[in-house]
Amino acid sequence: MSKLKLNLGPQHPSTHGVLRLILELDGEKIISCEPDVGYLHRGMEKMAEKLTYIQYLPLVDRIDYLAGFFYSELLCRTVEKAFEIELSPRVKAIRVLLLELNRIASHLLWIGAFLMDLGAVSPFFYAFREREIILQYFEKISGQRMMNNYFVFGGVRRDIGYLEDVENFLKILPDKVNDYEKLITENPIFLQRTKGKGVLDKKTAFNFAITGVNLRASGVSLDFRKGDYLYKDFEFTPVVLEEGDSWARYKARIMEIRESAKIAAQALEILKRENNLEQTLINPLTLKLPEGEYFQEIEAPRGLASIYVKSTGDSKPYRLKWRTGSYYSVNLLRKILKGAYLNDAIAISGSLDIILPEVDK
Amino acid sequence: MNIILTSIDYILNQSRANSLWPLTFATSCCGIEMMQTVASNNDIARFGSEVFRGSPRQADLLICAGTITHKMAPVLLRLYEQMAEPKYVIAMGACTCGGGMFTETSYSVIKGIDKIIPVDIYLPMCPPKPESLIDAIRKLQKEIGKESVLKRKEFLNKHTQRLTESCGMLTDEINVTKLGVL
Amino acid sequence: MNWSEFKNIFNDCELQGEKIVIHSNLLKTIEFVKNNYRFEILKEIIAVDNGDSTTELTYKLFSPEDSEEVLISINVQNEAESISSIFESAIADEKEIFDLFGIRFNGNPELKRLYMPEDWKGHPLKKDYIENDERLKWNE
Repeated sequence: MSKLKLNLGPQHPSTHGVLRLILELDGEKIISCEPDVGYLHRGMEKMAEKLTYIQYLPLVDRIDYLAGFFYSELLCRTVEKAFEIELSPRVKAIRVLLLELNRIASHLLWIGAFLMDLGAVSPFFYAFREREIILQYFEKISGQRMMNNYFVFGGVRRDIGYLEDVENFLKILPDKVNDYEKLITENPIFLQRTKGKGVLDKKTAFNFAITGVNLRASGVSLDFRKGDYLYKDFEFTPVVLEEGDSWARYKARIMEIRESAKIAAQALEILKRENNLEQTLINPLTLKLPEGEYFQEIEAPRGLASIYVKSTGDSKPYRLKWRTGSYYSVNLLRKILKGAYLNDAIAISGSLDIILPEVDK
Repeated sequence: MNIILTSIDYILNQSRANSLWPLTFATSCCGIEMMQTVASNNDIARFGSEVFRGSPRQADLLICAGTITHKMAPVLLRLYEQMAEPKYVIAMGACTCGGGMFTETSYSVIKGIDKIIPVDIYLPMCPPKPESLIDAIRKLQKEIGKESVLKRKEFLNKHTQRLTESCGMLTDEINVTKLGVL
Repeated sequence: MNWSEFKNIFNDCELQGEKIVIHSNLLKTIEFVKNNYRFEILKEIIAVDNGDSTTELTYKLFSPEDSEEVLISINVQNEAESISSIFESAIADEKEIFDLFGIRFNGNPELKRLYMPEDWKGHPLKKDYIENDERLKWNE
């Protein structure tokens, strides 16, 4: 038996950025997989120690460029909880609306990129068409397409507008998602490449600290939005599927897009009702976080995201740590790819929705 | 003689400029905007650059879309070296132009890819909009239109010289082969 | 989880705010907590450089059934016990801490540099880190 070591990445069209996998092969079968990350390590955590909170806030969007709002929200939430600021219903609704739109955009990109990994090019164009609508809306309200920097300590940068855009988008979205499903879900080639591939059982998922959609596709109903103070007044059901394979992870994301659209519609209702933007903004120039340790977490599109801040009462944090979902998904590859075939490697790693800036920070 | 050369130049430049094949080299945020440029609304195919190649051997335009770190630098140089002549580079995004947001405080980000490879077009902003990328490609096409066969050798020499100057440090101090493929 | 029961078994610990601070027996404590109180997910390991050549490691465990969280913290010098035999996700966390803080985890099968190049000098997140790698000269 001869073994072959194969290097995949860091420049590979299907590794979603700069992931490098060192695979050991026996013929077509993968014996072991060793992920090598760090090609995009920008030192976000060290940078926090050198910058004040308001200087650091715009950088936070770059941790996950597909879902920047979630990380802004975490940093803002840390400061708000430290000063015990209660957000008004309108601010809460704005945040929920934008977070959910961001989640939809992120999942749409994933559908496009994942299907492209499998060799189907057309879903990419469909998904990006809808994603562009969301990005253009973000640009209208915040001036930037992806790095929005829209949430500030104690509220939002300016009042939200152009609600009819969101309304129109939410009206057409279910039909568009139906279109994707017609195109993809029952497609025999797609089924063959994803059904029963990369099966993740509940125990392994716990052991590897997998959270988010990947965990819910393995039959665990664990959604950190339940119990999150922002989502208290919103009704939704976490998407749970039993199979745990690549197909289930795809289906769960499709279902989650629909669920997110429902939450966004509820937020829209609140925004129409509550017209006054009341917010207690914190002056960022004199902001000094009281001494202590702060933990906050939120359900991001790629799993649980959390922040840890240790402050010594200075204007800069003493230590700031991010927990991101993708980092643990990359670690899972060493287990889930073992025994799979080389031609499934990309399909399986793509289905976990790994995004590299989140891994490398 | 000159007339013949000018027409050869014209044909060569036209063909080169209007069928630029970019390499999919997306390291971070700008890569997503690059994908958006390919996708429906901005359709890069209108300018002859939709054929994104996975292999540097088949590409002649390197759109460096995203932050380059010290760990990634040898890979970038290797990819550039593997591309066949004539090759062009667009530095997309503030990070690749000069470090961007990470200039002052980050220990692992390279402040501009022109420290490693020669750059033809700089495209700042964080991240640039798809329209800006299309604009950069149009500008590059115009630059290519000015090239001449006779001057090509001169141009290449200049390129090589710049390359040895800028990555002298890299080739001396890091064993590129060690960090590349196993 | 039942704090008084826990306190009876492990005398060498105290409650500081939200955190349980232990001084030894890290591996045993984590294993006990996982098996007896169903803390099945290790959310993350947080390392903080105290500035006096010790590092505080905080283990954040989560129980999906009771949706309860526990923080177990320990101060270490340059070495610590690896808990990768209990939680496989700890391999990743410990690798990250080894790279950024230089703490050796005894028993971790894959301890090597993660984010930085293998021959990079120093551990960036330590408080006394000086940027002295030769490669940083490119940026001048």
